[in-house]
Amino acid sequence: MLTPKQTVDGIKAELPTLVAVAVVETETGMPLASHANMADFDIETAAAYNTEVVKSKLKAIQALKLNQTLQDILLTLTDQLHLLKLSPTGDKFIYLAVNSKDTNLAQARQIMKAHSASLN
Amino acid sequence: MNFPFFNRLQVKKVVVAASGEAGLRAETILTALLQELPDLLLAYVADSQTGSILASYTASAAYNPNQLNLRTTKQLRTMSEALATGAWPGGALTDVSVILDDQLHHLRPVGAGQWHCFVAVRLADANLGIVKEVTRRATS
Repeated sequence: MLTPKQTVDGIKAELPTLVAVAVVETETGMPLASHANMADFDIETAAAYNTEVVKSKLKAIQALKLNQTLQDILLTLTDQLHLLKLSPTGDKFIYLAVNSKDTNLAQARQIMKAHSASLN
Repeated sequence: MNFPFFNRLQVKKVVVAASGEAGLRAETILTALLQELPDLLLAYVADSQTGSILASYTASAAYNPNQLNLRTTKQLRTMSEALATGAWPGGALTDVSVILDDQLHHLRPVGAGQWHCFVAVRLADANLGIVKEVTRRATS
């Protein structure tokens, strides 16, 4: 099992061109570990909004009584991809933002999947 | 006046809830989606301001669009706020995909964000790339 800091470092090493990465506590929306390559990227605010997106989707799944677990949320913006991947217990999630010209969705998903499985 | 809440859910049929051009456009979007994704579980087009459904299609009574439309509208509002405040600096929102155990939910703003289109499919019937492209084509 890896700590949030080790998870962030591992993703950074695999995707050196990433925009930002964080491990966020689902309950509070606060980052436990983070890194951004963009000077003005406010990762705390981004993490807070991402947490709301995760929570509202979890509520929607409950409303439909789908009996499904949330795997990933993928937000496609004009120039960036923002990915949210819950840990196996759901108490944390990894948030990764990449430039779509550097990294495609499949690459980013694979890296997130590998790292979320070992997130403690 | 049509109150979807009081109406029995019509299954495997495109139901148009809005009159005029909005209803017609929403129906066209859903018809185009169904042509490419005949096994889809649920699809609807809703107004992004009010959350009211313009047209919907469901494959089963278990997938009720009226239980989702206000939540997806709220979700879009949160995302618009994140973009407006600069918390997400990567440009306008193109679409959102949510992968569940064996389902894919896809949400795409339509017409400069005035409406949005929601699509749910089984991962056994379609994949992320197909759903993104089919929804893009149906809504453009």
